[in-house]
This record gives sequence, C-alpha cells and structure tokens, in this order.
Amino acid sequence: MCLSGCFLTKAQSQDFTTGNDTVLAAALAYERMYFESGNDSFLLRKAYSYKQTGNYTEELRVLARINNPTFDLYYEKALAYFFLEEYESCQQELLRAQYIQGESTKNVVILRILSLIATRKWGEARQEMLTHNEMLGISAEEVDRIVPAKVKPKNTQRAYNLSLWMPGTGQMYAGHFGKGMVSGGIQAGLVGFNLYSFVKGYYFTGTLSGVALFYTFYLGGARYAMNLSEMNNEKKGNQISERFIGYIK
Amino acid sequence: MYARAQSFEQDMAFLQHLKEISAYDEGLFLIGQLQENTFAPGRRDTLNFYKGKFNYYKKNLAVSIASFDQVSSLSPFWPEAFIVARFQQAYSGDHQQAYDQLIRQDFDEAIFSELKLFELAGIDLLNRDFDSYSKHAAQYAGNFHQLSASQKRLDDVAGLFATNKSKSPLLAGVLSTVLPGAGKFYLGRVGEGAMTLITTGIFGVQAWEGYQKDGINSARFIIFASLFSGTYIANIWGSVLGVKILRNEFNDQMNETILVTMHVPIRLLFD
Repeated sequence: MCLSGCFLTKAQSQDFTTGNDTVLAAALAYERMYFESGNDSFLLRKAYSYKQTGNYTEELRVLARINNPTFDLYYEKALAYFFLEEYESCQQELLRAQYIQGESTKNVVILRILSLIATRKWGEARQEMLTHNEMLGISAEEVDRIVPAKVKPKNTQRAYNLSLWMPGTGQMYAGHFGKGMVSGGIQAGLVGFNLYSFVKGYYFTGTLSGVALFYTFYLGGARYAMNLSEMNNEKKGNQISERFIGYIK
Repeated sequence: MYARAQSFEQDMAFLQHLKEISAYDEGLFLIGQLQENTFAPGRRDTLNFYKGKFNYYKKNLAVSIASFDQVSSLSPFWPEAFIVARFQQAYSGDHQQAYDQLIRQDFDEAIFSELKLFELAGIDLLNRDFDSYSKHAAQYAGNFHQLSASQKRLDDVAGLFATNKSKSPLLAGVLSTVLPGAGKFYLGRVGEGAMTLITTGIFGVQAWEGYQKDGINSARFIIFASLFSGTYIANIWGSVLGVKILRNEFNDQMNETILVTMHVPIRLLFD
C-alpha cells in the first residue's frame, strides 16, 4: 500500500510534463500500481499519460485493457478515436458513454458534433447544435453562422460523373471554374486533333495517339474533379469546425 | 539484503508482466533504471537478457544482439540469449559471424544441440552451401516435435533450389529482338509482354503511316520512328535485365522463406 502511495505521488508529479522519458516513467509507475493492486483506475491514469504526448494508439491499447465500464473510459476512447480520425468508432464510443451516463453531457455533444462535421454530415451536426443550443451556449442565429442550412458537401461521385459526361464540368461543380475550362479546352483540342488526323488521312495517328491521349486526359480529368471536390469538402469542414470551436469557447 | 532480493524478484515479475502486455518501451525504461543500481553478476545477466528480449520484440536487432551477448554462460538464460542472438545475426545478413559462433558452441541440453544443427543448416541454405546443408541435416536426431515440421520445411526449400531452372538472358534478348514482348513472355511476365507488344506496335504503325504519306524526312516519321526504335531497343535490354531481376526476386523470396523457417522453432521454444 505504501509502495503504491510512493508510486502514485511520483506518477502524479510527472503527469504534467512533456518529455518522452517522463511520460514513460509516469506510465510505468501507473502500470506498476495496477500490477500490484489490480485497480483499473490506474490504467485510466496511464492512458492519460500517453494522451498528453499525442500517442493515441498507445492510449487506446491501454484503455482496451480496462474491464470496468465507466463514462470516463468510453469518453477517452471516443476522444482517442477522434484524434486518430476514426470517426465511426468515435461515435460508437460516444453512444456507450451516453448510455452509461443516461444523458448527453456537453463534452459528449461537442465531440459528436465535431465528428459529424469531420464525416461531412453537416446537416446532422447543425441539427445537433440546434437541439443542444442551450447546453452549448449558442443561439439559433449563431448556429446559422456556423453551418448555414444551405451548405452541403460536394458529392465526389457526382463530380466524377459530371466530368465523364462533359469534360471540365466536374471541376466547375467542385468550385474551380478556371480549372474546368482548362481541362475542357485540352480535351476539346484533342478531339480536334483526332478529327484533323482523320480528315488528312492519318488514320493510325488519329486512332492510336489522338484517342489514347484523349482517353488519358478524359479519365485523369474526371479523377481530378473528384479530388478537387474532396479537397473542397475538407476545407469547408475545417472552416465549420473552427467556427464551431470559436463559438463554444 | 533479504529485502533487496525480494525487491528484485518483484521487479522481475513486473518485467514479465510488461512482456506479456507487450509494453516493451516501458520494460526497457525499467531495465535502464534497474541497471543503474544492480551490480550482482547474476542479476545483471537477467537484466541484459530482458533488454535483449525486449529489443528483439521491437526489432532493434543490433541492440538486442549486443545485450544478449552480455549474458554470461553461467546464466540460466544463456542458451536462449546465445541462440536468438545468432539467429538475429543471420537475419541481419551477418551469416558468417552467426555460423562461426554457432559451430564453436556446445550445449548440454539435447534440444539446443538439435536447434543449433537446424540453425546451421538454415545458414548453409542462406549461403547456398548445399553440401554443408546436407551434412548438418543428416545429423538431426529428429525426435523433437518443436523442430520436426521446420526441419521438413527447410528440406523442401532446399529441394526448390534443385528444381528451379534459371532463365537465359541471351534467349530472352533474342526473343525480344524477333518479336517485341516475347522475352517478357519467356520470363513469365505475360501482362508486361503484351503491353510492350502493343506499345511498340502502336509506334511502329504510326511511323509506317508517316513514312508512307510524308516520306523519310518528315517530322511525323522521325518522331514516331524514334519512339518505335527507343521502345524496341529498351524492350530488348529490359528482357535481358529481367532475367537478373527474376533471379534476385527468387533469391530474396527463398531467403525470406529460410529465415521465417529458422525463426519458427525459436518462437516455439522460447516464447
């Protein structure tokens, strides 16, 4: 018991420092207390040590060894999954945390909204903000400023399909009019080159070089449109998250 | 004095616990702390053994080998430390050092002697010394279930060397000269051969079209004929080089299989 007390003091004093060795020392001290007492709460503290250095994978590995289900356990798991960008797992752990608690706490709601924004479910995030606006301390007008009702993520598959239907339009849909014009122009030029080759009797050149180049640019342009719309979604998602965090501060 | 002994035993139990939960960084940190205050040779051996073991799990081979080699032959951990260190040397590519140290060493326990023979046979295959392999394999007692499957597997690998027919770079080059891509077909790379045939053909017919319509001095002919020639020559060279690449791939694959096979009984006996 005394030994555990000594380790506890040592670990606590080392909790709020950042050096790797210090974190290892704290983690080791908590592991030893768990080893000697079998008390799960030491594992939770050990997980906090790894969280402080941003080692969320190791944090999750420690949390996975805890058998006693508590709100803190599930919330910490959700947080770690969020930082590892595993949003589905994050939301599952939040549901467990909410089940244990019997209701949504402010931290759970905030994390759920952030994970919904990250997974492009902006409409659901907006609804969640409106449902819990009193808890979060934001008004309906402020929610409108954070996520306007009309803001929707670009459909990446639609951008791809549009570019297949009419080269360049996928990029325009993704919000890049100029890039769409350039892409459409290049592909129109290649079609012109094909036609010119056929008219002048260069059938092999028209078929093999012209068509091959057109096909390459055609598919490449469609994939580029898809990437552009994904980048656009990421940028908008980050902006929404930043506005949300700004308001709840 | 009694209290210290108790404490060291508790530390070792905790170290074993860290091993079981795969907390190797924490284990190494603890060993580092314990080494500062541990002076009894037997205990230092134990700590060096665990340091070697944890670094082995973390694939820090050089540190692991150095730590294992500091375990004295008086330690009960020594046979494991010695054999795992030699395997890691072979794994790092230092076959000769691993072989020389293994062959000089005798073990009291029959199973370690059998494991020594098995590891030596594995190193023989890594060195492609088939005569030495046969001599070592012939000395197997063959009555240890932890090794028997791996011994059979290593024998199968040795058989693969005998049945593997190497390809001729000359034939691959000649075939590619006659028909672009044919050298790749010969090497078993059908997709690559087909792509070469199509690409060379595409440039070839466009060069022919340029020649027919605009003559030998036309830019169209010069561009496509250059592309055709470049692709044609590069394909011949690629087929010749492909034989060497194929050999390297075969050798790498065999070495990987041999090392994995050498590792299996070590995991079975010591984990």
